[in-house]
Amino acid sequence: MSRVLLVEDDDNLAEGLAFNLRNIGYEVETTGSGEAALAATERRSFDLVLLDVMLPGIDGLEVVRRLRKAGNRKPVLMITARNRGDDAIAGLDAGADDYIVKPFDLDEVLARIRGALRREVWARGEAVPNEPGPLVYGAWTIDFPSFVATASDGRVQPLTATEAAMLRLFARRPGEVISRETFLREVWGRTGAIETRTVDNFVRKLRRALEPDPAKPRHIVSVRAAGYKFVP
Amino acid sequence: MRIRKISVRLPATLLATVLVLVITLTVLWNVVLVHDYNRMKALAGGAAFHTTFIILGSALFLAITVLSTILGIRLMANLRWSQRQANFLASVSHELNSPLSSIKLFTQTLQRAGLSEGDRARFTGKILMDTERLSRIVANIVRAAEVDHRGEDLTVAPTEVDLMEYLRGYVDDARAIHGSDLELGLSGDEACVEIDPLMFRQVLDNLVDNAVRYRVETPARVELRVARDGDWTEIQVVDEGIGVGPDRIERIFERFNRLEDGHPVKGRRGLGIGLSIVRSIVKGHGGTVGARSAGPGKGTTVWIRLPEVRRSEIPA
Repeated sequence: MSRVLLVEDDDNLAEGLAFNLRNIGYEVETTGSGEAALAATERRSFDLVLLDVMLPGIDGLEVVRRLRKAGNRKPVLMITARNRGDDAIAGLDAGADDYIVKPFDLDEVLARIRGALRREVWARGEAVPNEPGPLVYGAWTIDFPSFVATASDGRVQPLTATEAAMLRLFARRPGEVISRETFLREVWGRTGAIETRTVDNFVRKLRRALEPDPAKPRHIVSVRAAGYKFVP
Repeated sequence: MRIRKISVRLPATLLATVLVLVITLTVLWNVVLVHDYNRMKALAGGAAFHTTFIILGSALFLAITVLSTILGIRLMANLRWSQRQANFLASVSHELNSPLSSIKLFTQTLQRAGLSEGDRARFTGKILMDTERLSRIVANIVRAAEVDHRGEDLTVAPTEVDLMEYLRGYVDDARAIHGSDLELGLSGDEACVEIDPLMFRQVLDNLVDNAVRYRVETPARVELRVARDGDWTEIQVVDEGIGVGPDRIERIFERFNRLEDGHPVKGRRGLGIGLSIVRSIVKGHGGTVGARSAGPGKGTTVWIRLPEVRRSEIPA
């Protein structure tokens, strides 16, 4: 049973979400502030954090930033308000894996949560035992089960499940152009309303972490109007 | 939700720098002129010209200093106002989105099979509660726009109302809306006032909403009191909430002036327009409004004074 931390300061919304998550078998803990959320994650581990951006005190962006800084790589889904596109991007930049826009569809929230939890398993490679071992390219060796990239000079770069899942998709199709829609389908498990900037955001993060010169990427290459290509 | 900060620091620094430069320049300029003046005294006609020059120049410097100070202060006031409006927009987005999301969520939950009767009743109650919340927010935004449009002269359609009976009706409604969050009492003298019942309802809604929002304990204990004082009837909304410091109490009726500015507390968000609307509506009724508090943590009393209507004055 997966354990979900729900951080939402609107009591009604929190109650409704928690009810539905429990109803389909998740164990749910709810908190109403950023401080309480951080305290909860220190006390015990959660498989997923569902996090409202606008919280009293420490806001959701700061929460995800601190979680990542503390080495927590578990999936984080942000809940943002409509017309606040900046928040969605800021959330992804801060380290969130995905975002949900208020007022959201219940089915969509549940699908996103399932997607994020599945991604975690898939990225580790546990579900596909016949996949090749660590991915080696440039100076980096990516070990999928541990979500860690190690450079030849000994530098270690931890990855989130989403980052690892993207690299895994790249690794399976070297030299092939992969569209943003394919990423959304394969990594985020999402079809329908497509928000491709989520993909672009994660590509930027991967480049920042793993390219020798992120401004002139050599391994994760953009292909105009088509998507991205992985050059080992 | 992030708001891009509009910084007041830059114009403030620039203003301070300009003032220091102007004052330094004035002083140096005068030193030079006075020094020259002493030497010029020897020359016929030179000193008179110099005196005029000193007076004129000093006046100009003074004018520049005063004007740049006024300009700077106005600029900073405008920046602060923009910041508050930006905060307001973010708050509107949040305040509307939360009940909307909740209504949608509970409706979709109700559509699912296998809910117990108890859950159904509870979720329907939540939907009603959020609909109420939403309609009060919309009413406040519309009223604020009306105040902006017409100034403080709201169109009031007053009718003679038995105040205690009106308040008893309100207490029943408020208890139903706030449920277990509110313990609302009513006491005082019978009185007759001329109010616009619908508009005045917004006054009570905003005051009681605030008392619930800024509560220390749940339920919020709030008392409505009515007292007659000569030609006036006073309605008090007395709470045991977080209270207001003496430095803030005068300003709580200003728009966008919110207690939690910079220190948001769980569930205590709002738009920062409720009390300003209370003031506009009470003024529209020819009344006055004010607040007192023994300080932070010691509760707040908001009082409204309305002109009394004497039964004997009313034609049969």
